[in-house]
Amino acid sequence: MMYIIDASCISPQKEEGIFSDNIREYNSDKYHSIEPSYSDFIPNSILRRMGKGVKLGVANGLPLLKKHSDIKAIIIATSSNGLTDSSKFLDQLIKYDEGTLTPTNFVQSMPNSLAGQLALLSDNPCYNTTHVHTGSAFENTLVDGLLQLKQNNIDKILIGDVEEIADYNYRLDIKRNKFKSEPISNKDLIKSGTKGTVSGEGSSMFVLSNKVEGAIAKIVDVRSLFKAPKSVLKEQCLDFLSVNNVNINEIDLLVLGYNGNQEEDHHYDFIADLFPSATTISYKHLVGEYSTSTAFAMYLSIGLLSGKNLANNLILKDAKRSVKKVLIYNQYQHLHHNFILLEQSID
Amino acid sequence: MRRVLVTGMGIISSLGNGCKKNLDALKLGNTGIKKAKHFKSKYADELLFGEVPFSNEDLSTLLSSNKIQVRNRTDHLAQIALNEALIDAEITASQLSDHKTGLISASSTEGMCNTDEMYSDAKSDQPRSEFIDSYEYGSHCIKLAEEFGFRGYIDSLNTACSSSANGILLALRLIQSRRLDRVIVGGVESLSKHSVNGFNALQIVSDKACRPFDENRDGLNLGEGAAYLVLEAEELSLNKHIYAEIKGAGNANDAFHPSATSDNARGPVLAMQLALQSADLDARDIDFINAHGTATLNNDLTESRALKSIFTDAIPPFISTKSYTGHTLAAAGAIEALFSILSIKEQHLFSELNFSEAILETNLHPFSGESRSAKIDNVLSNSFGFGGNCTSLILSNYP
Repeated sequence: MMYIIDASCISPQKEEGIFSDNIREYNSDKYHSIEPSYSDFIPNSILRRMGKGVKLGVANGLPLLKKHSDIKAIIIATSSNGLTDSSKFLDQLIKYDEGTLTPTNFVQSMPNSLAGQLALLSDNPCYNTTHVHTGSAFENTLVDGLLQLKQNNIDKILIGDVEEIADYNYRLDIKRNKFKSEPISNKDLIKSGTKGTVSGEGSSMFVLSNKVEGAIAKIVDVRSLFKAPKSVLKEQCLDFLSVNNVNINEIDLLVLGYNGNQEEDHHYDFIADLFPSATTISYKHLVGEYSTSTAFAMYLSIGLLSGKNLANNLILKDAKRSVKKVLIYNQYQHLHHNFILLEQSID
Repeated sequence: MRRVLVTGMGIISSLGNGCKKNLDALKLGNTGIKKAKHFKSKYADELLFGEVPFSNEDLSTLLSSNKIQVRNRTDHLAQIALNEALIDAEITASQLSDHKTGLISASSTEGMCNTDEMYSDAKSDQPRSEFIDSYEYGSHCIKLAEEFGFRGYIDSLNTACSSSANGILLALRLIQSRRLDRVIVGGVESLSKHSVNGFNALQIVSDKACRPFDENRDGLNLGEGAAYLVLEAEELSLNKHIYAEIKGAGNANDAFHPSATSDNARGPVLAMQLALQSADLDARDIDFINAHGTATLNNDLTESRALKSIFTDAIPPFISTKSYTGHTLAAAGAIEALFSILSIKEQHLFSELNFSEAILETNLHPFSGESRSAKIDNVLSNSFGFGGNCTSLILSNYP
């Protein structure tokens, strides 16, 4: 069993914006995280050398590691941590024509630099790994976490994600036609009806335990599929619920990854139709699109499972049900399809 | 506990294409570290590399693809090695698409082998290059999944130079726990200006053939290649050719420095201890060690101290096969696991190259000279990476 006993989130919204209609408005295609005062968490001497992803992730994860001194694994998902530094190193390489380069950007360009820094700053020598498989990276950390919690002597772990909008990946993504060509308010993003989406970033971290004491919510199971046609998507979705002994009508809340891209959102319409009696919500108008956005969706979901307010701006269809069982479905670039099943935990 | 067996293997490295070529070179003591013929960089003439001895054009003829339109060098290497492993284990198309089959593949270079195109794509207003979808982490893995038809759990790990060793650890746990029945796991790396300049800037690259565990070692050589293992649950492996068992694995963090190991070898020691524990073996059960042995001043001293602290009675024969292939970064864990399995399968001790003088402080002598037959039941394979990521695997004779 996997229980979430603590969580922390840095996103393009303030905490109150996640659970109320007082959301921060964005009119560009970049939703940047609201950054904390880093020097409250990180000594200035090392702060200077850190890339944005590492700073976000350390500010978010280190307080959890300090609060829970018995954490026995650090498992991070990211598809972009280190890209700002990678880009700076590339600039050096071209500018000096492979001459004498400084290595700091190179070392900081590695995606595992966050998990490494978290271990270093909390003096934690335990299991430490980083999943980078884009649209399934966060789900893969959940699977890894599930396996870790089955090991002897491990009953508390940290998992989470971090993403940074670097100039480098943003520009590449423009050339890959990922973003909307017209300016649009995030309040209108989901119903825009045009091609493309917006970029987002942030970090959500969770302390997981195999003990129910102090639990906020329970992670029942997770499943990832690659390139699933609709027939397989339906079959796998139903099988996923069935092996976990959950009936379709028991899902109170369906959290869907609508990103306002008319070429992708039909996947969510399809899944929504399988759950006619559930309340349906979207979340990417709060935080933008990024490959590990389901970490934010999970942060939002466990808040709702623990009784926080469901804001009107999230609701696509209101079945007026109390939230006891949540299914998150997200797809990324038509390739990665992911389901996360959560439920209320009774301590 | 459910047992996890290796039923197929594939490799392409500077020693050649395929398990047979690699085995022959290891037995004969033929190095793959030479002047680069195909890698384009200011350093191509100044340094030595473990370069795969094929041009991109030649690689593209080794495996025809009908699904993937654009393949960079990383993709070629990965697909060639993975294809060999699948054929070797006689994996069918329906087994590949089965949701109980997983794919885990690591690469730290990805599409950065096309450094110039990447720069143009990310920094200029030039039209996009054909490689634009190849730079993201995990992009080679997506292409593997598309090309070969994987449909379930797909993962790409990045723990720097221990990436594919951690892939094997994760695959082991996924099968042991019955979450999956079969995982194809490995890693790939191709030479890139980005990594060559990065390691060069850290001043840990030698301009001579590397000398792991030698007192006069002066740095590593960068290499490239790919290796994949087919891991299957024991009950699926009946009537199959079995190479070895993945017996145990340990992962720990050195928690000391972003790009150097600690003096007391905390991470390496812990990783080896955890691997032994998970295999339910004692240090004296280990017959052979495939060390991380990068030939940097820092790693080899730390690793020697770690070996002395784990193997208090006697240190079994150990070598670093990086003296053959160079350091293949994220692929090293898989390539070296495969070499370890070859040593078990052949009951043969490969010997270290370029060694002459033991490190003064630790006085450990890697096995050098003529390779020879030996009784090898359990091998320990180490992979340590930047970010403090240390992983040890134990590969064992089966049954």
